[in-house]
Amino acid sequence: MKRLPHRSVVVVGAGVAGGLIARQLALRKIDTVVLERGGDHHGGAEGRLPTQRDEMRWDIRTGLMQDAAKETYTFRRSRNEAARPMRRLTAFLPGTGVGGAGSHWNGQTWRWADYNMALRSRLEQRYGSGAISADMPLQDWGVSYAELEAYHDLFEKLFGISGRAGNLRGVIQPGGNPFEAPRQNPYPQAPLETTEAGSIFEQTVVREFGYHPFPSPAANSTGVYVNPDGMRMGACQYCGHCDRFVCEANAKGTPDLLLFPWLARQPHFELRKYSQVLAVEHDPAAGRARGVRYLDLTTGEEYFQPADAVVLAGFTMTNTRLLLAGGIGRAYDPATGTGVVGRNFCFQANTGVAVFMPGRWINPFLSAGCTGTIIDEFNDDNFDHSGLGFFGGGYIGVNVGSGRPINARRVPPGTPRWGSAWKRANADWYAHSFAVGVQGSCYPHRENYLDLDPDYTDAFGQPLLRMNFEFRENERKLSAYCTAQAERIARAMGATVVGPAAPRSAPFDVRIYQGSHITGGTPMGADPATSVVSPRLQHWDAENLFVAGASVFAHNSGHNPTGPVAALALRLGDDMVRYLEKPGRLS
Amino acid sequence: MRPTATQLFLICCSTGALRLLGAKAAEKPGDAESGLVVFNQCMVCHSERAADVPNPGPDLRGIFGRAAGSVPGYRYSRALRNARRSWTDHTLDAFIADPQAAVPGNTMPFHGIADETQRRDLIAYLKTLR
Repeated sequence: MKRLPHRSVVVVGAGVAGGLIARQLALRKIDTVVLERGGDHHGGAEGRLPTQRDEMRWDIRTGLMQDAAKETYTFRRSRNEAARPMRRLTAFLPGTGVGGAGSHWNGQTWRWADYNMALRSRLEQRYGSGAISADMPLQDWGVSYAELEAYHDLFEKLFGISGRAGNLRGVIQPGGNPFEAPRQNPYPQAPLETTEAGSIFEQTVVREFGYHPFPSPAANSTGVYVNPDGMRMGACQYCGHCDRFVCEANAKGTPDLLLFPWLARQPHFELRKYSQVLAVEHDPAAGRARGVRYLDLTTGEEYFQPADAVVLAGFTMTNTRLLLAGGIGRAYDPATGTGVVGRNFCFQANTGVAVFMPGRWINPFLSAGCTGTIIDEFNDDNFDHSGLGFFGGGYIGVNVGSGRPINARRVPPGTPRWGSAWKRANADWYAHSFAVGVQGSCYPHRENYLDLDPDYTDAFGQPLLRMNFEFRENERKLSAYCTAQAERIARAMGATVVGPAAPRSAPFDVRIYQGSHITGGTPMGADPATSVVSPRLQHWDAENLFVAGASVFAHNSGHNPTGPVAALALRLGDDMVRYLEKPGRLS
Repeated sequence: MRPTATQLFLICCSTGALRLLGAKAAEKPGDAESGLVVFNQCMVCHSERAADVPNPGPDLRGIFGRAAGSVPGYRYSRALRNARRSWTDHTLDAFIADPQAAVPGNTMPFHGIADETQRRDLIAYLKTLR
């Protein structure tokens, strides 16, 4: 193993979190190296026409994702089952390469409702101190929305987010989300076009129910846009190849378009691609990380990169695995509820109700990643949960994100699965169907956690991470409730056929894509007994080790996670500048 | 149905009229500064400076006077590869006015700019890209 020259900061992972932290450090000319296991997606077949539009290659065969033959996870639903490795990653899709999952995302960029970061306090205050089950280890994050507002604002400007403000400095705006946390500034870009399906949804919920629909906030650029760093975005072409694809029109806000090319021009910055991090080297007696050990995948040579500070900014699963494998912090034990690393692991309870309207032209092929029309009336604690028997909720809306030929085909219930009747139904309904979707929250459960698999290892000899997850009673009830609301809206649209409402239920099926919004494992909080990192994202047992990304979330909301991931990462970048000037515990 | 002699005559006249318009557009000098505003529509896909990541359309630096379909490494449509022309006031004006009419079968997803003054200004701006 070769020991490299000492650096100020080493960041693991070149995704949204790693890129934003590196940007804040680069502004202060702090010497930074980012290690990324994959390569650069721009300029290759995935970033050029016509090969970019290959659904089989990039979507079905997950050409841009983590290669499960090298690195995967094992899965089980309860502690008395044997875990088995996922041979293909389908339930969620970790990215690889510069930009991480932020290069193949759809672009939904939310500010969560402002009470979310103190959810435990909010629910206890509203429903009583005994209202939260002992099996649900909800905790406050130790940070308030107000502290993050300026960072949300900065992120929206950096990534050219389009949308319509719902709450401008406390004043509710017409046509926006009235449940939105108050914002200082409107979105930097105008919202995307409303789809035909979105108009049907909008008219229905306003006319029939008096709800407040609004356009989905999106990192899909609605015009030519130049961000504060001088980086330029093109305009979305509504091609319907957004999530699971690289945008060849440079119209999707991604780290590989807006952060890393800018960083490459900064004097004290270095990106090392094809660098597979194996371990964080750590000195328990001193309470410090010494640096990271990694493999250069192009040469097979192993390196040690010493640094003053180490940031874990990999995918949710990667951050947790590196801490568990390195023995940094106590592993969570569900039997006793003690230990911290791996706890509060959450997925999402996402569902949809299909709608078939022969008289309306939905034309799903003409769409952006986030051409969605949404209501937030049933999200998180935006509605009264008294007597419902669950906490949480989800947004309900119509997202027409793609009309790709293999996956985007809906046929009414009862259609044969093959043959001429199936073909006819495809032709009849392709342009005339859509779904009312629910993005359901997922709150922690003491038996939903991550640990190291005792049996299986990856291609580099590292133990696989084991995912212990099931939809528990809380998520099953909330999914039944929210999916019933979606069905009620769908039935009010005047459709010919409405598909069956199928809420998420046990057993959790790891073979079905349910969104890549997995969170937790290294939760943040003010109490070291229940959190891995402090409210400043500083590891409780190693003061120069920081963690960023959705792994620090203490629970998962009914909104996509990228907004809070980005705001927390930008704040961490600024905090690290303070730390490097004056090392110690950040307050 | 075969076109009648009158129809053929009318077609010839209208093409001739278009040519005349094209020539007229090129006579008055355009305003490069206004052309920059028009260029906003093009910036969606084309770069006028060194790009960090590949753009959907070819780099437009040095476009004026260059042979059509000639930026090294850019994957052009067959139509533009075989267009056999260089970009002058006349050819640029026709292409920007109606890309499909000027080079049938090209894959630039743009409907064209109908306004003659805007085209003239845009071409004046394109001339400044070196």
